[in-house]
Amino acid sequence: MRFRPVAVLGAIVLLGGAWYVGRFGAGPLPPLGPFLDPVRGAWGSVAYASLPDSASLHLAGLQGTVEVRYDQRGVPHIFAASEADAARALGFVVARDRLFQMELQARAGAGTLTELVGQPAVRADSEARHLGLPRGAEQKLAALGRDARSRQLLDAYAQGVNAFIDQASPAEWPVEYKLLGRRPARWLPLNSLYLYARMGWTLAYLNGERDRVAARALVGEVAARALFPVHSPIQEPIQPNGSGAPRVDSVHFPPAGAQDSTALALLPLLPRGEDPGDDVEVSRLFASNNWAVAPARSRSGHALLAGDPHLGLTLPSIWYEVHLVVPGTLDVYGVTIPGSPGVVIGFTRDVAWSLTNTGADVLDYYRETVDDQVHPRRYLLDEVWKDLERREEIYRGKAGQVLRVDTVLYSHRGPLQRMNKEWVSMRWTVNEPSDLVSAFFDAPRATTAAEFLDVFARDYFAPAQNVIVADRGGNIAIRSTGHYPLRPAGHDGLSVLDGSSSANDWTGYWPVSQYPQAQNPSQGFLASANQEPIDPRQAPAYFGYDAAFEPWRALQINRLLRANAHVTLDDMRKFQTDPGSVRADWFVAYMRRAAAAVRVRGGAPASLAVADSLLGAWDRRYTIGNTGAILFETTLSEVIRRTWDEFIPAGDSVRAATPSSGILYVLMADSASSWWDDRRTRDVLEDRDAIIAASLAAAYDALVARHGAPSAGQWAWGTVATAQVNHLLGLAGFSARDIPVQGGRGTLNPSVQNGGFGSSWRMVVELGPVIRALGTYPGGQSGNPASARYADRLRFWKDGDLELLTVPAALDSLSPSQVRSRLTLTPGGR
Amino acid sequence: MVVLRTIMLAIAIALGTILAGWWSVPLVAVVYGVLLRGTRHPGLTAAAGGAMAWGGYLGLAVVGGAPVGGFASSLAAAMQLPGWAPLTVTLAYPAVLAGLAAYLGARVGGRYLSPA
Repeated sequence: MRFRPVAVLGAIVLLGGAWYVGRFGAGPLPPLGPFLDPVRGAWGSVAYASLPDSASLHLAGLQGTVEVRYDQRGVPHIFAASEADAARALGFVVARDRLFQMELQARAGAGTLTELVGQPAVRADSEARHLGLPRGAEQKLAALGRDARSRQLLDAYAQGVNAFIDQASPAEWPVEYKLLGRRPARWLPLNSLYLYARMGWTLAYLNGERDRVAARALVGEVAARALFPVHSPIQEPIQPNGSGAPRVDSVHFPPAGAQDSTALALLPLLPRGEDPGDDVEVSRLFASNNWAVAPARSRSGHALLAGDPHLGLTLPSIWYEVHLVVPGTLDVYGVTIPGSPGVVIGFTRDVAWSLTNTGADVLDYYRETVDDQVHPRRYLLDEVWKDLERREEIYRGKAGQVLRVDTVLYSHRGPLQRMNKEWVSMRWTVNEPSDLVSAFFDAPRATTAAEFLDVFARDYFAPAQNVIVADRGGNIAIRSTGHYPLRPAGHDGLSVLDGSSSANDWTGYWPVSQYPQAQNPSQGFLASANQEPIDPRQAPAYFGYDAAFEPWRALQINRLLRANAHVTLDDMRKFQTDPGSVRADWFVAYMRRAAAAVRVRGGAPASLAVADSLLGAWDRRYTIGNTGAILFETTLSEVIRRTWDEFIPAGDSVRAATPSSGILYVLMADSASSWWDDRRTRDVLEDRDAIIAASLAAAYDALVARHGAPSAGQWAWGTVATAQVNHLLGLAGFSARDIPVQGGRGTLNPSVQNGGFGSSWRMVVELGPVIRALGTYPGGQSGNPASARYADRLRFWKDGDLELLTVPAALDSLSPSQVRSRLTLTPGGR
Repeated sequence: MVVLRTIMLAIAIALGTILAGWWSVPLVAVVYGVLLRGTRHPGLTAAAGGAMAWGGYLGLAVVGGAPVGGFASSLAAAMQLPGWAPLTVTLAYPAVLAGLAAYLGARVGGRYLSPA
C-alpha cells in the first residue's frame, strides 16, 4: 500500500476521536466504548435478564450455608441458620436485583447524589445536608455501638451487598451505572440509616408552621386558627370513638382579619417546600390504607388484614418482596425497602401487619439568637453563649472533583438554616438516635398482635406509623407508633419558638400508653387511612394539625367495612381499589344544590345546566370509563381557587396556604360566610351557591376547551388520570406511563391527574391455621429493564388483582415446579 | 478468501472484547492491518469484521433467548434516540474503530516494513 500522509493523518484524527468518545463520552453520551461493549456494557443487561437455574457462591462471614429458592414470581425464600446469615443473604439477593436503586436512595439520604449523577443533584443534596439527615444517620450508627445486635445485622447486610458487588462482573452491573459512566460504590452499614433518613424526610417532613404563619400573616390570628385548626373537623378516628359513624363538627369561621405584621415577618423564616399551587391535595397524597377485620365479621371466622402504602410510583418499585426463614427464630414474609435489613410490611405464621403514616407533627422550629448574623459561631441559650457545631459539607462530582463546599451549623436542637437574615434551628425526631433495624427484626418474632405492637413500640422511632396487626388467635389491634415530643405547656407545635430559652425545648416523649391505639374493638374492625388518630373529645393533646390528616379514605373504608358483616379475603382485595368516594358523595350534593339554586335565581350560564346534568348522572365512582369524575375534580379545584383567594398574597398568584378539604366541606354548611366572596370581583358579593355554580360552569367550559364535548370520549377518567410509574432517573424507556387505573382523590386507591403517586404495595392476609396471603406491587422484582421480571406485576396492579403468595415452611416445601431458581451461599470467599 | 479473513478477524475481535474489553478492537485491527497490508482494502475488511464481531455476539445472545430487541427499544427511548440507534451504533462503533485502525496499520506498515 502506498503511504498517503494526508489520508493517514485524517485516519489518525478520526481514530483518535472515536477512541476519545469511547473513553470519555461526549456531551450527554456516556463513554461509548464500555457502554456499547456487548460483553460488559449496556447489553450485559440482556445476558442477566433471567435468573440462572442454579448458582452456588461463597459469601464471606457466613456462619452456615444459606439456601435461597426463587419462586415463580421471582421472590427469594431465604433459609438461613442465623439472623445474621439471613441478613447477609438478604443483602446479596436484593443487591442482585436492585443494586442501583439501593445506592441511589442511600445517596439521597446522605446528600451525595452528585457523586452519582453530577451537578444537577447539588440542590437535592444540599437540602438533605441542611436538614441534618447525614449527620443524624451517622449519630444513630455511633449510638448503636459496635456490639449491638442491630449493628451486627447492618454489618451482615452490608457484607451481603458487597459480596454481590465483588463477584459481579461489569456486565452484571445495572444499566443505569453504564448510562451514568459510573461503577457501584461499596455498601456501608451507614447506608441503611441514610435510607431511613430519606424515608423520614418523605413521610415526616411536615411543615404546618408555615401554613399557620402564612394564614396568620394574611387573615389574622383568629381566622387562621379556625381555618388551620389543630384538630380535624371530620372525625372517624383510628382509635374508634364509639360513635359508629363519622362526625362532622360545626365550626364558626370568623371573617378574615387584618394582616398580621408579626407573622409577615416570621414567614420568610420558614422553609418553603414544593409549591402545590391549586393542586394542594396532591401534596397530601403520601398516604396509605390499612385495616383489619375481627373473626366475628369475617366469613371464614379468621382475622383478616389489608395494607396498601401509597407512595411515589417508581420503576423499580420502592418495595422488594422476600421471605426470611431462620428455623426457630424467624419466619417472615413481606416487603423490604432495598437497602434496609428486615421486612417492613408483611406477615408471619402468627401475625400480619401493615403501616400507614400518622402525620404527627414531630418537627419544631426555633428562632436562634446568634453572635454574628453573617458568620455565627455561638448561640444564646439561657443567657449563656454556646458554641455552634460546624460541619463542613463537601459536594463532589462523578470524578471526585469538588463541586461546592458549605458549612452546616448545629445547635443542641439540630441544624440551623438562614432564613431572611435570621437563623432558625429545627428539632426533628427523624434526626434523633433510634434503632429501626431492631424493630424490623424483633417485632416479627411476636406471636400475638399485642406482643407485636409492644416490641415495635420499644424500638421504632420515626417516621411515626399507624401499625395495624392481626393475629392467628383472632385479635386485631392498632397503635400509632413512633416518638411524639412532649412540648412545653402552651405550645401546640405550630409556632416558631424562641430559641434563646431552654424552657421551649422538648421535655421528653409521650409514654406509649398515651399513643392512639385500640385492640379488639366492639365494632369488629379497625382502619387507618391517615385520618386524625384519636378523637380530640377523648384526648385533646396536640398530635398534629388538620391539614396533615385526611378523612376521606378512612370514611370510605369504614363505610365499606360497616356494611359487610361477612368479609372475605376477596372483599378485602376489592376494597383496595374500590371506586367509591365519600368525598364525592358529600361534595356533589352541595354542587347540585348550588346549581339548582342559581338556576332559580336566573342569569345562570348555559353550560351550568349541562354540567349539572352530567354531575347528576355520575355515580360518584372513579371507574376508568366514567366521565363525571373529571368534572367533579375540576369543579372542586375551581371552588378551592375561588374560595381561598384570601390566601394569595398581594402581588402573587399562588396561595401561600390552603385550608384542608375537610375545612372546605364544613364551610359548605354556611352559605353566607364571608369566605365565599371572591375578592377579585370587587362589585359583587358572592355566596356559596354563586361560587359553586360558577365553578361548575367554568369547569365544564374548561374541560370542553381541553378535551372536547363529553360525548367525544376524552373525559374518561382512565384517559385523564392515568398512573405514571416513572423510572428512578425519569428515563422514559424504562418507565411505564399512562396506565388507566380505577380510583381518584379520596378513594381507597388514590389516583390524581399527575399520576405519580399511588398504592405501592397491596397485601391482604387471612390468619387461619394456614396463612393465606395475596399481594402485588406496581413493578417487578428485578431492577433490570431487560428482565421479564422488571414490570411483570403491573398488569395485576392496574386491574386491582393480587397474586397468591407462596409461603413455604421449609426448604423442601416448594415443589420443583414452584422453583424458578436456586442459589446456595456457602461460607468462604474474601 | 476475503470472507474467511473477515470471519477470522471477527472471531479475533470478539475474543479480544471478551477477554480484554472494547479497546482491544483497534488493537486487534491494527495488527490485522499490518499483517495483511498487502491485501485489498484491509480497512473495509476490518470494519466488517468489527461489526460482525459485536453483532455476532449479540446474535448469539438472541439465539440463547436474551431479549436484545426489546431492550434495544427501551434503551433507545431511555436515551431519547430512535429505536434503531442502539443496535446500529453498536455495530458501527467497532466498525469505525477496526476499519480506521486496520487502515492505519496497513499504511504505516507498508511504509516502514518490507512488503507483505
